[in-house]
Amino acid sequence: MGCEEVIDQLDNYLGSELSEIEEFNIRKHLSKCSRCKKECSELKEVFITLSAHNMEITPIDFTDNVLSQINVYEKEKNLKEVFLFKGVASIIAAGLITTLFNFVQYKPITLFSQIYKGSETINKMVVEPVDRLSTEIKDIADSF
Amino acid sequence: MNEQKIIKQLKSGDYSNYDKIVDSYKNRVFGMAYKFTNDYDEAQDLAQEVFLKIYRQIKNFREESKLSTWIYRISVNTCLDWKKKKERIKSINFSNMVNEENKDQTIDIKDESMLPDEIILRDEDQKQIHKLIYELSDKYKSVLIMYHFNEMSYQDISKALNIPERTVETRLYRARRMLKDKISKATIKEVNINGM
Repeated sequence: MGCEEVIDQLDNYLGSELSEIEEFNIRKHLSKCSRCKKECSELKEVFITLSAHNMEITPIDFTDNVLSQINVYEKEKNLKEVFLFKGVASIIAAGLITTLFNFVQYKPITLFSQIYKGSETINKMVVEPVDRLSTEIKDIADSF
Repeated sequence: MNEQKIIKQLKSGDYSNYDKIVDSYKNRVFGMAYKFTNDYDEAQDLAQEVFLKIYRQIKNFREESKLSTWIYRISVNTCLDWKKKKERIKSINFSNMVNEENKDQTIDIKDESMLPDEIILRDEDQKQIHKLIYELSDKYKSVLIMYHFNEMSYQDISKALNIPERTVETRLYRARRMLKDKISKATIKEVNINGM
């Protein structure tokens, strides 16, 4: 094992991420190479420093604070759902009432005749260009 | 009650045991938040936000990774978002007074078995190490915290951060070298001060 390879693997060696054979090879190299040994001991210092470092401890009431925030969130969510439901229901009701009022002010005969006229107009709009085209084709055919 | 059962309960809408999840992960989530914010109160708010997010999103947890990996992914993303937001505000205000004010904030780590002088020295060391980690850039800080403090494997970190395992290794390698340099510089500085 060369110095470069050992230096490259030092982190994994110190973090116990290597197989026994790999560890053995590194140990063997370190016992002979003072440069790598120095590098290893300096890096080991970093590992020791990090493992000795205490992560900060949360305040005693942390969990309670989280749970009370969740309660607030749940209440707000429920309120929103209620408002949303009421809002949607009101819109539907208003729509129904408006439709009903719109329909009652017409006599059924007037209403259906309007619908019929409407559909007739649409039919005309669709059929007319096709009609015109077929007449033109017929004229061309006749001219021959 | 094991974690699997609690997850099932939570997914079915029963949140009665959510406090157990909070208790199991609060110190590590808070620790990560503190390393990003360097502010005890901000870290508390951020950690609470993380647990609220977990609560809201637990139904989306597909159990493809460990719960811890998923929680730390949410934590690191929340911390990074917080930092982005903070930087945006800073660039608008042209001021970093908030950080300056909180620079000297102390962490209350108590140990009854130590003498007062020892506690002060140890607290100073802890603060020094915290500062060194805090000063690292986010991408190095994230992997360092996950590996050394949250005891995550390369594979878990890779999943949490959505980066290849080799990148995790490289970032850890660089982060440790940066720390090594900083520690040796700090030691030299200390020796010079004491020698005067």
